[in-house]
Amino acid sequence: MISLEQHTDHYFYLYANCFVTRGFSRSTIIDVAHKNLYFIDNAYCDLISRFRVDKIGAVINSFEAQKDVTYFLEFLNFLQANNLGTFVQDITLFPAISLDWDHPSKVTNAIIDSRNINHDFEDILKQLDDLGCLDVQLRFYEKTEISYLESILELTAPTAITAVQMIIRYNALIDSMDYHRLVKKYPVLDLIIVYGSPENKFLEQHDDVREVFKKVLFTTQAVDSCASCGTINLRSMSIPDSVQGYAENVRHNSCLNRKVSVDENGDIKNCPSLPRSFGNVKDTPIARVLEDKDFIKAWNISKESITVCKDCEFRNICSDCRAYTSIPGDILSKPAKCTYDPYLANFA
Amino acid sequence: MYIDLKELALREAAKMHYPLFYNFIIYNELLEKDENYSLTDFKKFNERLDCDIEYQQPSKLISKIINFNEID
Amino acid sequence: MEKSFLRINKNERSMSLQHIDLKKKELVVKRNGQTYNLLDFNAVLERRSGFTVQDLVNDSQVLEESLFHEETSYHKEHVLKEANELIDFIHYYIENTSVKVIGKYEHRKLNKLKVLYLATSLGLSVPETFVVSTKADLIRLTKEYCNNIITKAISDGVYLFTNLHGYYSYTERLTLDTITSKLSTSFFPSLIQKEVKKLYEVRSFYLEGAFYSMAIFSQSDKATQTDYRKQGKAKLASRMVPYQLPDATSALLTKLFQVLNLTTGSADFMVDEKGEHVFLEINPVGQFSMTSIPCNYQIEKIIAEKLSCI
Repeated sequence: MISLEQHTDHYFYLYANCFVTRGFSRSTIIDVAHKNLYFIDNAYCDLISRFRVDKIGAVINSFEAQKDVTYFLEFLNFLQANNLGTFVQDITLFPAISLDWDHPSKVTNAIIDSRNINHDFEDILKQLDDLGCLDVQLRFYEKTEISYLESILELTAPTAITAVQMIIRYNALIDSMDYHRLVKKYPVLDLIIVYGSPENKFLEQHDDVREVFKKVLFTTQAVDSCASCGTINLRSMSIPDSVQGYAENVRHNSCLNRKVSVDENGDIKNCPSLPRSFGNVKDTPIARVLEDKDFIKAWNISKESITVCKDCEFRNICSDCRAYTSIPGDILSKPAKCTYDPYLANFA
Repeated sequence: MYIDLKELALREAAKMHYPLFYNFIIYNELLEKDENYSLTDFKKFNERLDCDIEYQQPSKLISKIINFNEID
Repeated sequence: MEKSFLRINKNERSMSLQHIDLKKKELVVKRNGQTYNLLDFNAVLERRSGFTVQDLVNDSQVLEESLFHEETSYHKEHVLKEANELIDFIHYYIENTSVKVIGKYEHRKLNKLKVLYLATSLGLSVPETFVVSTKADLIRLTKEYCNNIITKAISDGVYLFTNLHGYYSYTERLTLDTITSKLSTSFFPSLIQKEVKKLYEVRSFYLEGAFYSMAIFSQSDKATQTDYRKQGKAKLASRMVPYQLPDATSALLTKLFQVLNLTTGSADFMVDEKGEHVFLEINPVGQFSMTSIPCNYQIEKIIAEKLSCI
């Protein structure tokens, strides 16, 4: 237990990588360093903002009722017990963290959708690689052969792409060992999700590899087209691994920023589910699309500009969706598939 | 992952020839090379960037087409 | 802003020196089938070694064979000296013909004791420092500083990977118990310092007049109290946050970098319970990413801009 007398002349420093987000009904503290989330009452959110100005003694003196002092002490104990902050003599030595975001790559992630069409993957992956793209997700709406997936993975060999995810339709003819072999052969393959499967499960690993890689996931979920996308729930939120990741969420659109999509018709879009095409990948270079101001505009739709979301305590760790919005046609309205109500603080 | 660190023992007669910090060297056995996986499998040399790159998980969710709520 | 670049990494790809021509200003290397005149590059960032002996000596196995009578190592040392002299010049030549240079080859190693001496003379607070070689002296210091002394390497600690093992040495606290039970009566002259009871550590990355500092709070875990790198079993990673050096410390540290002729480097401090900033050392080839990433300073972008704005 902290003794307040000992610290009256100190400031309480909430570590700069613990970020407070005020919501309508409650606030969150996101501890990016330890990937933890804490809910706090909005009254404490106000209190935290005083920490940078007032010493502990001054904060205590401002309370009228003794019980407020007790609550305050409990709150400080909570912060310290969870290693969210510490007492310091000079708060000015501990500046806030910058939330400026930038990345050397022109494109960091991409989605390529396929249905009965053979995209020129060699060309598309080459273009993405030239733009510095790191993560690529391939979504197939028809059954695919393992050999076809393999031929695409081979194309990543000369690129600097660091992760490929494949979302494929369940095919009873494919032996589960084939997925296993694919994952082992191509370390760039980060994840295969097989939808429309008979059951939900991770593929069992058969030999005693050091780490069990949960890289192949079967799900019973039915997927017919990109229209299945846009799910927002607690599982689609994640605390970023780094301050940069958090800053990107705060400053930019957490889903669309530095993203390029090629839909099932080859149309280049921000997201396959958005209506506007910026040209077909057959005749339009992706690099040229990136010069279009309208294309870039979506990258900068931050949560602060979205109705309802701007009052949500999860906004800075939410991955957002600008394709399916609650008011059709209003790109600044809440995601249609989000079931959370920040005014009531519950999921429907 | 837990790494088992052991202290390196210095021969009594050798101690006088070493700086003091040699009395406190710790070491661990490196993981055996695995026939199926080796560390080099997780990186590759890239011509364009002129350096090794490491495979890694995407830094964010790329799409939300799979509803993970329905899986577990 | 897109510039072509060449990255010379130690041991990553074989590179060979083709020729140097002082008159024509050529320093030509061949790598991966391509030749480059390194003097064509107008900006250079140096961190650790670029060119190594391996790049010059094709088959080092031959040097293991004896050459002269009654003497087994002279030829090897002599050729290595020749190689190092050349490597030294290669870096010097590139630096001198570049418009922009960040980090210099000659600064890749600093003498810790020299730096401590200079720091003290400039007025920075440093830990009380001794070099001793007898148990008797150690016991005297232990008593004088109430069991609060540490030992560490004067140069670099042990950091070695063999095929099967990894070996490491860190900063170690010396207690009377350890000294009496474990250490020999006399030993190789060793660096001893009074232990600073730290509230937190500070790393300050310096780049051309600006500091990018970080505080490291690791006190909550016992294993990291003497050396925060010893994080083996720590449950929570150390807390690394942006930091602003007090003006007085920052002024003295700037002076130290200037006196040492360094335009970049990373300085370590311990901050004690009284708020005193105790200077420990400067790492001239310090990694900036370990400060840049947790504090979101984007130092890599700043460096890229400095290198390309010429």
